[in-house]
Amino acid sequence: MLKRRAIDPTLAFGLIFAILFVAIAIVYPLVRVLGTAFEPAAGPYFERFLLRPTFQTIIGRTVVLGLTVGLAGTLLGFLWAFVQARVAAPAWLKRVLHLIALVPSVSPPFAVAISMIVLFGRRGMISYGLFGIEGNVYGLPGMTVVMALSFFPVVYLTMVGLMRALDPAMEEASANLGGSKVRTFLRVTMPMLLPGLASSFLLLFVEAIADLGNPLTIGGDYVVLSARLFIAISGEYDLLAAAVLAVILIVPALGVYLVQKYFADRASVVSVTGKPAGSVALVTDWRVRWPLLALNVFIAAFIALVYVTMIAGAFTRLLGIDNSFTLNNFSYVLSGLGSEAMLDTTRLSAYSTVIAGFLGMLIAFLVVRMKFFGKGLLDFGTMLGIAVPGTIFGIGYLLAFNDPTRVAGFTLIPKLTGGQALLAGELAIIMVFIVRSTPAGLRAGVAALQQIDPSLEEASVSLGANRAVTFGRITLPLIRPAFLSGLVYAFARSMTTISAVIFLTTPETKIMTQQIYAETDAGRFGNAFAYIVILIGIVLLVIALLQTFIGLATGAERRVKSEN
Amino acid sequence: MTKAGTLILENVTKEFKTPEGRMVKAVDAASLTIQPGEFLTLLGPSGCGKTTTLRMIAGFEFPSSGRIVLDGRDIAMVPPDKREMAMVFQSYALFPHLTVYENVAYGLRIRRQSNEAIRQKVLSTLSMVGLEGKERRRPSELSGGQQQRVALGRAMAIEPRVLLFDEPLSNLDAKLRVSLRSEIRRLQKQLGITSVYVTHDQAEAMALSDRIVVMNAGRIEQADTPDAIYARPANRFVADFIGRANVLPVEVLGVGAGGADVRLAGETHTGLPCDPAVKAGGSAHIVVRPQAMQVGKGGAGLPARVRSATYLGNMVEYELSWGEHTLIVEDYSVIPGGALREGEEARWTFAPSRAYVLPA
Repeated sequence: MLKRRAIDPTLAFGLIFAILFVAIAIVYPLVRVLGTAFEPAAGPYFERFLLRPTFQTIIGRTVVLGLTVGLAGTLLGFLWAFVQARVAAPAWLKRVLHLIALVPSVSPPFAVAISMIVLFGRRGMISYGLFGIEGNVYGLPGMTVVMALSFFPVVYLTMVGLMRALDPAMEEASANLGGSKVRTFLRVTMPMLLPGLASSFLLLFVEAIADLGNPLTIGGDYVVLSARLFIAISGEYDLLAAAVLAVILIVPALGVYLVQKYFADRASVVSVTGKPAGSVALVTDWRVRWPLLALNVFIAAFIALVYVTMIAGAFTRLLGIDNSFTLNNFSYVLSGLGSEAMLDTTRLSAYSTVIAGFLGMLIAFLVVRMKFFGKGLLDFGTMLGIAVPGTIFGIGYLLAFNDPTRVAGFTLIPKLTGGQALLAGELAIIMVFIVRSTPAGLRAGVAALQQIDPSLEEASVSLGANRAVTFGRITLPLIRPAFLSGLVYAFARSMTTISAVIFLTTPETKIMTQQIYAETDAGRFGNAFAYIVILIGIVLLVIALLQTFIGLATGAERRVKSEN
Repeated sequence: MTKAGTLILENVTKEFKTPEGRMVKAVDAASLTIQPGEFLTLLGPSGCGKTTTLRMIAGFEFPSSGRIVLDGRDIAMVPPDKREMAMVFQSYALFPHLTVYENVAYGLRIRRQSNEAIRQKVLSTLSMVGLEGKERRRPSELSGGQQQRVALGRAMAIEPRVLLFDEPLSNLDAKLRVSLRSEIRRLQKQLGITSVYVTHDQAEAMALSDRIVVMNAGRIEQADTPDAIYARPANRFVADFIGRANVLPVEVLGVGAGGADVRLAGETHTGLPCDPAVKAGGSAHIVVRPQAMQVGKGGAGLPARVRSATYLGNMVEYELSWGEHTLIVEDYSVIPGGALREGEEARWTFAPSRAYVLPA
């Protein structure tokens, strides 16, 4: 038969690399977690964790945390988006509010928690210093505030995109038919935004129950699953218990993630309503405008305060107790004992950013443009990297790579984690960085590729360029904005993540987020803040460099879909 | 210079699986021989398989069975970048991040030609398609017609053995379509490149082609010169699809050297051109173009009622109800005030030499 078909060797290599990566770095560790959790010896653990009241409380608390963070974060994101897209306000004010909303996305998620402790804790600068109250930020309310502030930017960006994409003609039609502004908002605008809100809520739910940094720093007695899991490993070194807890955590996390994807796909349908005909009528009624603006400015000021506290804390001995100026914290991080973690983290993040950036675009290209068996699985497998909580990858890596993998006496995968690991454990850390950051690049790449008329690539091929040359010369330049955002995300994510990597650091390889946690735990807030400030500085610097070298606007994206 | 290719399709079939799991033949045993330098058009309604055929020639799809032979070599399974063909797309498919110059140079760079050779080729190509001085523009800074000229130049610059066109003019407005199609024809003749052109616009096909291939439901209905297709359609589908036609049932009285004699509603007509398969003594159909019909208030002919009369400037178009049939008549002898009105009785007939007899 005629089925034999010449496959581009470069592309085949890319496909094999992608499949191997997903199989080894994502699927295999998760399989090991499941395998361990379903060993006969794990049976009593399930009984213990699912039936004992203490552990039922932990599960219940985890769900409650997910709900409160989901609700608070969604409201916050919606408020921000609504003010940006729909409320009349000076341009500079909107710009400032917009920038403030982006700050949490480049800082380690639990940086806010540390600031909150310094501001509102038992000896907090505001709670005790100003009001003489012994504040208590530990527990559910504290965690909710901190997580909502840390995670809401993604909701804001999604919602503002959706609101801007809505065709004003629909609201005009409602007004034209006699609907009041309130009625129009409730009956026309809100229903169209609902899938986006639902998807945001669920996304935050997953983020909240997956988060480890905040529960460790500010959780206090309110122990949630991820924190309990951490204790199982770092305190009890009981991998069996950890695997069982991981399975208990993975069920709601993955389930809610899949439901969220369903809503997210529906939300995107709303935006495809063609070119907006008119422009949106901004809210000018002071009864609506002033309360919203005031609330937004108040919260923005609060966020600003939290970050100013970090900077101030970095330059003082112990903020709130001994406010004398010092550069010791910085010298510790920059040139002292702490510099190793800074250099290691930056270096490893840089490696993984490059690989994750290309891998995301490659998988996006394979998924959108090629036909092959198991395409959906490759996409799904890559997305597991973000759908599955990082702590579970931490356990999975320990289970999978703490001993060399041998098949018939031949070492297939050497020891990657723990003492005497290959490259002092760096390879495992890079792998986990890539695993966690490739999904964002993949989604951005898929969205960008779907905007590009396939005939552009066909034109290149018909002019004699093979698939690989076409990818390099035509596809990649056209999806450059997505590529850039993939790189930026990968670097920021790698620098700021803690949940998976905290299990993988070795005595020789230290990671900044883990050091921040350790310094905070030891009460050395100055060092922690210096780390945070430097970390944010590095992330911003690298983003600026990436934008300079890869460029933001190429002019091409405006006409990416060649004129129809 | 360009080496024009001989392209042969032998029983090319393409099967697709529908979402329900059924196998559908998008192209069904298509066979064609395209001569070097020939301009061949694949014409048909949407879904007839013309685009799939073109994409198989280009290599973007692979046939389920059959051979595609270019200059003696079976290329059915050869990837598209190894085929020495170039395609002009409906959406132009210009690379938006490259200048006009770099778009045209793209295929030459892939072929690793020297910068000087590329420069000469690009500039001569751009002057050929009338775009001198636009080298540094981006595609987005050009009009639709200019963009398609760049796409044309880009395809011709690599001197392909076969040029492929996928409805290249359908995104342009009517006037531009006409001027660009004569330019495509002029350039193609000048360069002598074998060309395969897909369109659903029969006027375009008539104007451009050495030969037209009419396709329907994956099958080739007829492949012939434009005038043969129009005057001697192979079957009722072709008659209907190319131009407009009145198709009427007749009884064949006899077939001779001077054509066929037929009886239509009791009236005998003699000397009609006829398909070789038409035999005396059976029933058949005649194809009569609207402009070969004559209509009047009285006189000879069969009676009919005027359903509608539309004044179009150079002619009046009538729809006549004749029994169960609706006849279309184009009347170019417009007599001011003398035309028939809607609802009036009329009599119609036709010129036998301009009709064509098809087997039933």
